[in-house]
Amino acid sequence: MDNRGDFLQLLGRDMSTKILNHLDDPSDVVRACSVSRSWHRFVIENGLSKQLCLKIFPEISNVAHIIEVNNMIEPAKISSDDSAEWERLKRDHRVYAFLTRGLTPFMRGDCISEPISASSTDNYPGESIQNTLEPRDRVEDRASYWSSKGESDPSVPETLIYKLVANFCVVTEIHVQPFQAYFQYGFPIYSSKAVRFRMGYPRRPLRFDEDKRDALLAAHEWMDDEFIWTYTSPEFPMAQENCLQKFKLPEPVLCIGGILQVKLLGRVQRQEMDGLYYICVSHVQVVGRSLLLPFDIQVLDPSGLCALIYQPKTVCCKSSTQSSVTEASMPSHFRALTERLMQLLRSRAVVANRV
Amino acid sequence: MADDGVNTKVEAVSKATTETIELRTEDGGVFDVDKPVAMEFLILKSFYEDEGRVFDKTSIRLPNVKQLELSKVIEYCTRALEFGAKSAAAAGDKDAERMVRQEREGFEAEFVDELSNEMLKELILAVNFLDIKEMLDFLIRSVANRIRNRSVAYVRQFFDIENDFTPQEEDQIHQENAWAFEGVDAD
Repeated sequence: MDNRGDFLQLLGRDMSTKILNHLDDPSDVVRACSVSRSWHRFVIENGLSKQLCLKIFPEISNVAHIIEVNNMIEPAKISSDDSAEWERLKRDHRVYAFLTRGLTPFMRGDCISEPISASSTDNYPGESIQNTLEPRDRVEDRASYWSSKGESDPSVPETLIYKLVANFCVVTEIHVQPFQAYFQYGFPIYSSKAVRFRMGYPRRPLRFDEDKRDALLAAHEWMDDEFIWTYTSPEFPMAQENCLQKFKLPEPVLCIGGILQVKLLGRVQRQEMDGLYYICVSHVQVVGRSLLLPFDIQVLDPSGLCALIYQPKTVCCKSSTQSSVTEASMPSHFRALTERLMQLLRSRAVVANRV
Repeated sequence: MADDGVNTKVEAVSKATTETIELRTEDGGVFDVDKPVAMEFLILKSFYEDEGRVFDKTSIRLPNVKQLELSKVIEYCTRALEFGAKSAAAAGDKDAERMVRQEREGFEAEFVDELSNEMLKELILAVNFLDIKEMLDFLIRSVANRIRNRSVAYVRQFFDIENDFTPQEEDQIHQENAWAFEGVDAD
């Protein structure tokens, strides 16, 4: 039976849409659009490129309306025929594909690259902060969690510090799962009372050898001013429950410098054996997106002054249609972020020609 | 034994026996399918429920399905039901749940690997006709996986589609979104 060109009709619009909607890379959608005339028509008519963009960036649904209005301002001719609508759909297809590609070099996901330090660790390396990168609380027959040292005073806090995947990340949520000691009588959960997050960059470049790295992972009293914190979150209460608790930041935060601090405030669980309070964490996850901005951060001196190194290499797109995506069609959200970044840096950054 | 065309009322079958239903494909295949598996085919299920009777040894003809496809469908649905039962039994035990999930993923990967592109397409049409939701979702995902990060030429070959663009049109499309055509897997 000759199925040529008819596969989409054969399966029907719903099924074909379902298949193509499973593609989560805008490049795949664009390529699908160039397979044949009927596919071209199908992808554009059904707005698959836009659907994908909204799926990955639900925030854009607020601005999608604006983009469409801009596109509909056609010079002089307002016809009621197909072609104006078709032009709009084609433009949507191009713009949304480009947008998705430009904003997502990496898919939204876990932004933690590696742990840097824990304020204390009870048994290193068995209970190292490294374990908090592993989502399971058990790997084969070994438990996977970080544990602080015990304290008799439940108000002693702990901090965990992580390096994120890029120097610039937009963080929306942080997830923390406290650890339930399934091997102890009563299955105690060693959560904290509350948690607070900070983001920033290190005063001195972080470069350590193996020994120093171990020492930091095991126990390190960071002096508060070893980092410049550009953001401090509100305090979130933590439940004494063995589940991945999601702490949504009041608004997405641009982390400049790629350092995240998790501060665990107040201990709630005593260990029966020694009567001391511990905090144990099974998993930490930072939800957000890394941005391929053509900037790099360089710390200039211990006082914390930093410079932004601008590297205007082409980051995401070599297409000739770059010029057709104007300021107006970038989501206002992204523009606001860029503006905020500029403001922040104006207050700290050093002019390039300063000696 | 009542002959074809005459419907026989049967007393309620005890749970211990597994009823089978006979399915005949359009190319002469005959399959005795366990009832629980056959009931996954919603096209059959509604037929049974509409009629409001329990049939014994009824033979049903499936006009749009061939032997090869039906045997694959039965294989998948039988395993799917098994995994469903194992999952239910493992509920609450995170390790056991994970093991069942991994076993299932292993089976599905192998199942799909053995399918040619042609077979995958035929299966989708068959499963769509039989109305088996879970298997359809699985096949759809598998097709998407086959397109993902593949060149346009590969996709055309997979779906057996003719390139009906003029060279100029194709050029224009490529230029509009040139970034999308880089970095695909080798065919």
